[in-house]
Amino acid sequence: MKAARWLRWLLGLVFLVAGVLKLVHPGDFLVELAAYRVPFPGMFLRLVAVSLPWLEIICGVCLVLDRWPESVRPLVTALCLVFVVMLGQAVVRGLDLQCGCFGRFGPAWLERPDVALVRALLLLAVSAWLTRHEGGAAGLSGR
Amino acid sequence: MSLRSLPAALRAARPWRMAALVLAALAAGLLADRLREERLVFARPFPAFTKIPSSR
Repeated sequence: MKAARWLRWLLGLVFLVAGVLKLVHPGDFLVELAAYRVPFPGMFLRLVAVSLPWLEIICGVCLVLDRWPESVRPLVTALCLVFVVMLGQAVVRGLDLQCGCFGRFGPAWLERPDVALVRALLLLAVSAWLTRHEGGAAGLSGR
Repeated sequence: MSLRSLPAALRAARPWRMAALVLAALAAGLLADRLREERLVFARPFPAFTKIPSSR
């Protein structure tokens, strides 16, 4: 299906770009993670700061190339769900932060938590749809 | 997808491959961190992160 391919490429490119831009300045990304004020140990946040950009790049490449869809699409959906929860709690608590999705390169308004939450919800909807209907675990199991 | 079909869907997602992807990202991140001047995980003086700031 043509629309599904475009959505897959779009989702893959968003993940790829976000991963590469975070990778440029992981220190900044760690500061942005800390600003979410979630009760995780500092070492855990450091591990997330160094590994999440790579995971986004791997997932982005796999999405664009349509490699291992049955594993990558649920993984991307789970990542989007985590983003939604993190941004949702930041919006509910009224935290004044930059979302950190695109490193320090994103325009300020695009990095606002409420805007980022809407974006994450859209990405979650796209990835869940791809997982369910276009070759994800459930989609493949039905074939 | 109902909750009852969730275990089957998770099995079909090949969790070992998902775990492998996450571990590959962790390994790449740790290796890159080891090679960087600005290290976040490996011990090296990094003044801005001796204590993670609670707010910006």
